Amino acid sequence: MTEPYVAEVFIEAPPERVFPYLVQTDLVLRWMGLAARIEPQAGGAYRVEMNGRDIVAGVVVAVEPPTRFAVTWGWEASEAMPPGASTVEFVLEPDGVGTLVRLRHLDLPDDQVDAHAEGWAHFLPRLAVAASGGEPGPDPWAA
Amino acid sequence: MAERFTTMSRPAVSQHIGVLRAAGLLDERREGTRRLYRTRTNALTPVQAYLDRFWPDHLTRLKRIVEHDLTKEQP
Repeated sequence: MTEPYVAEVFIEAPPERVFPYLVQTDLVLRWMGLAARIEPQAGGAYRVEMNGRDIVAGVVVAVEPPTRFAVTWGWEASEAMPPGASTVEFVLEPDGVGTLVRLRHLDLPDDQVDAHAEGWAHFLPRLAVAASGGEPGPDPWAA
Repeated sequence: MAERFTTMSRPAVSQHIGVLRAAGLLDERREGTRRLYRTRTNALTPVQAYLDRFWPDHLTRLKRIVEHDLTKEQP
């Protein structure tokens, strides 16, 4: 397995304000995906349709408001990273008047995975542009 | 590291190290007051490269939405 992927963002709102946007379906859809089903308890479903073809699927691992939310994560129709294959963990740390959101994406497949393996071929060409995020609105990665 | 490059000044070496670190090509380890560097021999895997576009983009969107909603509430 390769090293975990880590990323962070600072949000000018306290953790109690941020946390619902990770676990509540209608709030998640404001920043990720076109449709989703999230059951925010351990063992609950976690499914996010990014667009017509790329569907994230897994189960909820931990819900510890307002500090930690973790899910398993994979893609339907992917051999390289099938549903539940990896783990995504959000940790919210209070930081002054805001929140440091620390994300770790763990248990990623290793180097030997062929980039053109089934399931990946249709992801990578679609990600020609690393979008900057832009204004609030529909997920630019939705088809 | 500066000793290997007899014609390169220490500040120049530090600058190069900074560039390599920013590019994610160096691992750093501390030993007392010393900082030791090692190059990463494996570049980003396809999965990591994908996530390196996916997550920063979506975390930025998360930030903007949360902050936008908060300011909308204020009188």
